[in-house]
Amino acid sequence: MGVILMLMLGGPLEVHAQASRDSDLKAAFLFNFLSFVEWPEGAFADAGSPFVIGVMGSDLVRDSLHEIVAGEQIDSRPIIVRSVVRLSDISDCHILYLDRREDWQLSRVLDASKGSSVLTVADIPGFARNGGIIEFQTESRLLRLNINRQNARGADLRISSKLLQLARVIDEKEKEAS
Amino acid sequence: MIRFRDMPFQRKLRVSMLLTSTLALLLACSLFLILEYLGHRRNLEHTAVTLARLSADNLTAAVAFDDPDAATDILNNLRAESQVVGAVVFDADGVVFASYSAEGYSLPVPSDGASAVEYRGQDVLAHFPIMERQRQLGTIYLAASTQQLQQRVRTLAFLMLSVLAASIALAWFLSVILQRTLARPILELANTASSITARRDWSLRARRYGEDELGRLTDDFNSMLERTQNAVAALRESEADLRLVTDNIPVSLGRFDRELRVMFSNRPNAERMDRTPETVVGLHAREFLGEENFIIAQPYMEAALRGEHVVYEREFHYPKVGMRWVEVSYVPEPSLDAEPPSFVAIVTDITERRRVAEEAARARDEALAASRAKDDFLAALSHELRTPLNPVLLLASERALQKDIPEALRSDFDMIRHNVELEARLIDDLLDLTRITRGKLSIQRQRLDLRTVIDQAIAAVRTEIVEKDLDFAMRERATKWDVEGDAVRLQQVLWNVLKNAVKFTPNGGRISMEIRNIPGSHAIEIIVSDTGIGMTADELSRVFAAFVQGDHVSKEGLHRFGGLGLGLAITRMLVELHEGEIHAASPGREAGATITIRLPLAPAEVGAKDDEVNAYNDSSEPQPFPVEVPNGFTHETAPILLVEDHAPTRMTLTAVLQARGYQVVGAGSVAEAMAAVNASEVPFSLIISDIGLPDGDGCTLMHALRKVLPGLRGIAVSGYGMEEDIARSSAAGFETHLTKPVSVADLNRVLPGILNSRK
Repeated sequence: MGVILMLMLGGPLEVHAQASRDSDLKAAFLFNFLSFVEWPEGAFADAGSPFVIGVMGSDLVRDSLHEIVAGEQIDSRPIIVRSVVRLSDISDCHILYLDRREDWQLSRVLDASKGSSVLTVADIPGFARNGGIIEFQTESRLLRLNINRQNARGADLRISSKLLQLARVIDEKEKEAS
Repeated sequence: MIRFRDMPFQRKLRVSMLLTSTLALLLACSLFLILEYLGHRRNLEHTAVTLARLSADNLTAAVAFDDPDAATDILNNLRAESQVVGAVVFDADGVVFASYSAEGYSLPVPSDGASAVEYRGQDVLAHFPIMERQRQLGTIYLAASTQQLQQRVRTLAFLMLSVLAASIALAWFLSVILQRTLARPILELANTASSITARRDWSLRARRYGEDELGRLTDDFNSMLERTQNAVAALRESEADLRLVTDNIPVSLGRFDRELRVMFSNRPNAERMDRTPETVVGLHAREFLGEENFIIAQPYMEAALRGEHVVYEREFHYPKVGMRWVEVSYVPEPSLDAEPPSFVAIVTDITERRRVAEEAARARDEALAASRAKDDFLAALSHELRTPLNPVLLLASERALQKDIPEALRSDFDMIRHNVELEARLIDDLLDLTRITRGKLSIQRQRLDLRTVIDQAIAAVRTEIVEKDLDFAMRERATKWDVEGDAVRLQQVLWNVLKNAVKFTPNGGRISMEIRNIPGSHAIEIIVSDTGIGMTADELSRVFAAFVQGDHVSKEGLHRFGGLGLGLAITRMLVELHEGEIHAASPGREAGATITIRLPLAPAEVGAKDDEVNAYNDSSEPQPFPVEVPNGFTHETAPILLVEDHAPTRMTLTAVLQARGYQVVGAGSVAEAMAAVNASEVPFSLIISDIGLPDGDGCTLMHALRKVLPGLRGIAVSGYGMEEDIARSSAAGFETHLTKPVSVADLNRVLPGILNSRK
């Protein structure tokens, strides 16, 4: 029975400067994306095929995710968390988290995800503007989301409007205009 | 407080209307309020739940991605809904994630496991899970205040109360108007009824309003009044009729109830008591009749009240008319009960009736006394007239037969005898009549052959038939001849009839006599017809009346036929004493007459005829007797005592007896007789005594003499009207009884028998 969120009662959240705390939050966000994003039918081998969340560059996040998804199912599908080492494994994932430490491989990872319905998530600043779909941005100790809808559409993913309301939506045209 | 039942109708109506409308309105308003309240509450619940669900849906992402600000923003949207006073979002761990509350409102503390909606104080608390992809991310609690609802209900209630008050006011107002329309006919009926009761005026009518049931009721009521009025009028009329009738009859009528109080009295009844019919009703009988009369009437009245029909006659005192004899009849009222509720008294004044009846009785008594006196006088007169004839008749008869006197002298004596006999016959008729009318004639009945009687009667008139040269025809057609009767009287009857026929038939006329039995009836009929002067119808009608003769008597101017007119009257009486009938018939004057006598036959009898010699078995008509008078013959017998107060008769009889050789000692009274007995040396063997004597009677004399002379025999002699003496004389010891006048023939017949039968 996983505790997903550790929310303090009343007032703004007090953020402990703890890496585990941060990664736990990110893992929870990743798990929740499964509920607010729709994948095309072709993204699954069959009706019972599991969701696959791939993590690159953060064992903390990966371990935290393991805790979270244990026993959970979304839309009757089990959830599998795996560390991605090879770029060829990326296309098998439904969500791919790319830690800041792996930003050197950014373009390669994005290329590897092209042609597959992979929700790319990273805490790399500018990720959403530069080919990624969801970018974690920490603002005044709160985790904010930047979402590039165009890239999502390009990956044939539909993101819930509820999620979009919470997030800052990055528009390529807007970017180009600015 | 007046009970509803006793309220006046108008008020009852008003109260009913108000009560009904108020209750109906209250019920309707209450129902409406409750429905309104419930509806609003459901709405409120629905709103709360809906808002909670909507908010939950919107909050999924905010909760999922840990954005309390976004959640707060979403909750703040609830501010637009004024009823929502607060909301709080809990995350999956039950920690408050975000909250909202209206100003001055403290959020309610949710309870665990509560249903979707619960009430907490004045608030509705709704909660809804925050779900995404079947995953519960948290829970939202939402509180909606019922204050608005309550406010609304209060306002509504106030409005309704206002409407209610207005409605009641309106209803009261309407009831005032309506009750006039509704109650007016009923009040009219009630007022009319009480007016009639109070004034007894049956001509009043209730006014009718409208054509509804009350209108019909009023019509029915009025027609009932109409009928009652007619009935009352008819009743009064019949009462007046009754009054008219009862007030004008000469009878007092009254009616008394069980308490003996006057229920009704007609005018005569009241006026006798010096009152009027109107004032006596209700009076007690004691007061009405007066104490004195009431004491007399009370027992009868009580009997009438026991159901008896009482009739009595009493003398009552009336204030107006004084003492009056009245016949009172109390008729109890017909009733199934043993005790009738009333009786009717019918009082008839019989004072006058009693007076008339008393006078009539007195007059009758006087008339009877007068009639008796007349009869007595006639009887006495006849007796006195007859008595002097006896010696004359005796002497004349004796001399007429005496052979030693010249023929011419004997003829003279015979003439004297004949005429004296005629006169004696007239007097005898008179005596018969008086005896019959006084009921003193009795007949000696015995069985006899009517032929003997008829033969003797014919023999009595034979001389006259021959003298008048009449043709006498006799037809005997009867087969039965026996009757039960008195031979002497029956002979008298036939002799009378034959004598009349001879008397009224002129010389050379014809008399026929027919005797026959009547077929089919046990009777014998004797029909005597003549060719004489006959009778007119008028004469026929009174032919059997006494002292009446035919018109020929006066018409002819001379008493051609003589007589007193008694013959047929006596004849009829004698026939009737024999239970027979006698009829007279005649075609008219100078056409002859027929007398028919019918006598009942004696019952069939086998055996010899009674040979007993009757005391009267002497012929009424002295027969010329061809007896030789034994002259100079002296009986060797003891002397005869002759007691007769009529000296001439005594002397004549003495002479007649002495002529037959008897020794006779005469006596004129009982005293003389006793003296003669005492003086006589030789005891008397026979006494011939008159019954009626100046100083006693023959019977007592005989009784006394028998004690002295035990073997004394006796012949009683009595006048007419002394039939009852025969029994007495027999009892006294007389062997034979002779009726005056004693004839020579009587003596010739009786004396030898008595004197020779001595032992």
